[in-house]
Amino acid sequence: MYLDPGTGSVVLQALLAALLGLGVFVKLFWGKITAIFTKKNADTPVDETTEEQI
Amino acid sequence: MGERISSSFRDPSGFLFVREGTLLRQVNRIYQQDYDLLFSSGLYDQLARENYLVQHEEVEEAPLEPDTAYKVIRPEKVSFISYPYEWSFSQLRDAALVTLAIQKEALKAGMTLKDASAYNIQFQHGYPVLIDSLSFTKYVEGTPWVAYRQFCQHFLAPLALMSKTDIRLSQLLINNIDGIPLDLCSRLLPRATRLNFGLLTHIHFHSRTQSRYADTSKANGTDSSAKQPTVTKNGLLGIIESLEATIRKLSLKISGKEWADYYSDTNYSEEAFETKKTIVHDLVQTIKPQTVLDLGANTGIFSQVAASTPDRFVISTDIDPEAVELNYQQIKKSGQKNILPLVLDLVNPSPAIGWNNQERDAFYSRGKVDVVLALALIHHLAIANNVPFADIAKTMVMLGENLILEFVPKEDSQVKRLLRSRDDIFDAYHLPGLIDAFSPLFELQKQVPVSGSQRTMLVFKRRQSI
Repeated sequence: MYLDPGTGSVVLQALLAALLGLGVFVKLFWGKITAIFTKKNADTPVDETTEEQI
Repeated sequence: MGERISSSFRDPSGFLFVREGTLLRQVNRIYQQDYDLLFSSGLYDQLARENYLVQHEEVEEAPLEPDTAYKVIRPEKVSFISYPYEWSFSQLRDAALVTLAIQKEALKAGMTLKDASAYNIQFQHGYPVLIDSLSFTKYVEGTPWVAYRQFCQHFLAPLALMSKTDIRLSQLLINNIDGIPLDLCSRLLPRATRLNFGLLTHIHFHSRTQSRYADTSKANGTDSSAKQPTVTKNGLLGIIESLEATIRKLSLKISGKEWADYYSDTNYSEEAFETKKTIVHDLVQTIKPQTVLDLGANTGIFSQVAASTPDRFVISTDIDPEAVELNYQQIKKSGQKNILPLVLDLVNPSPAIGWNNQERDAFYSRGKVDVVLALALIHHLAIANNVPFADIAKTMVMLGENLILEFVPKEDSQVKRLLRSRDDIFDAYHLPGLIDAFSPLFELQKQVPVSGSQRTMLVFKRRQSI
């Protein structure tokens, strides 16, 4: 490591990581949940036009 | 034998040197593990596939400093080295986004960028690429991104200032070689940017924490080796995605003032404009240059004319950052790979900067071209800026072998406009006067009147005796 990361910059990263990391976690988690449903739906393709008519 | 490149000294991992005209990079033993990991992790191949990293090959050359050497590599030659203060907004933005994309790929491969310098990015074949293969190091879970501050200073700060305050503030990078200080950026940004989450955190809070922890004894007590705060991998990805989203949301409002709308505002009729295109095309074609420097290129219409064959490389410069922005957006859209638009003020061209003034070269010392294009430029230099013809000739001869110059006479409405509000002190401003002043350095090869206008296209060749 030849750059000085800067103490203030590291402290801020720790704070932001706690905040934004949650978002990444939720996104991953959400991705997994929606993957389950899209998988289920994939078996029974929905005809969009009929959906709209309903 | 060989000479170390004067800017290549900060990172102990290795350095660049030139031997018999070939650019080589010595990789030091201290960097051996990381260098090997770049390949064994598959990261090099992935980045090469994505066209994010300039490719290199290992060569059997003797190292310049054998005591510390691990390997010698030869990187692919970059067509023309340019610096962030010469880039338009979108060029800097694309350079920033590619840096973040590289960091994401690196993290996937268990590595991380140990620097995020804008000077490590160059435009090659129309795209921004990382030119430093030694920028990667093994990622250790829980550690922060060492280059976060550098990224904010080199990329986010100038982009935010260009977008939210004034496009011309990119020039602050000339005075700040390690990027724009965040406290300065924070002060120059409008108050409303505090409502933008990305700018609030990465610029305003960042600046605040920097000054708060500037005195390390306050931060860590007296023990400077105190434990570093943990940054989880998801947290790190969150920060990178936040930087990415912030930068993607920054935009530039093109006002269309000054010369950006020049082409709709000339005395050229559509027909004369097409004639001028044909003349330029034919003149360039007879010289068959490999490299062209288009000075005062505006949005690059004639650069495109000059770049008609793909093996020709055209550097397309203009003083107006908005014109350069439009130029870049156009070539990006059309996929043209052999034009490099750059911001350049001919009256005050990019100087040499950095340690001993040898880190970043002056624009004029970055190599000669085969043809210099100076179309509808002479009146801006000679009249608007009072530069005598003889001095213009000296600059032109320094830049290239051939010169295609469009003479714009006093009768032309563009010149009349420049003279409207000032005394006409330019007695020698006429075609014979120009040819006379250029003749000690240049041989006049051709003189073509541009029909439908009062202008004349001149082709000069540098005298062999010079």
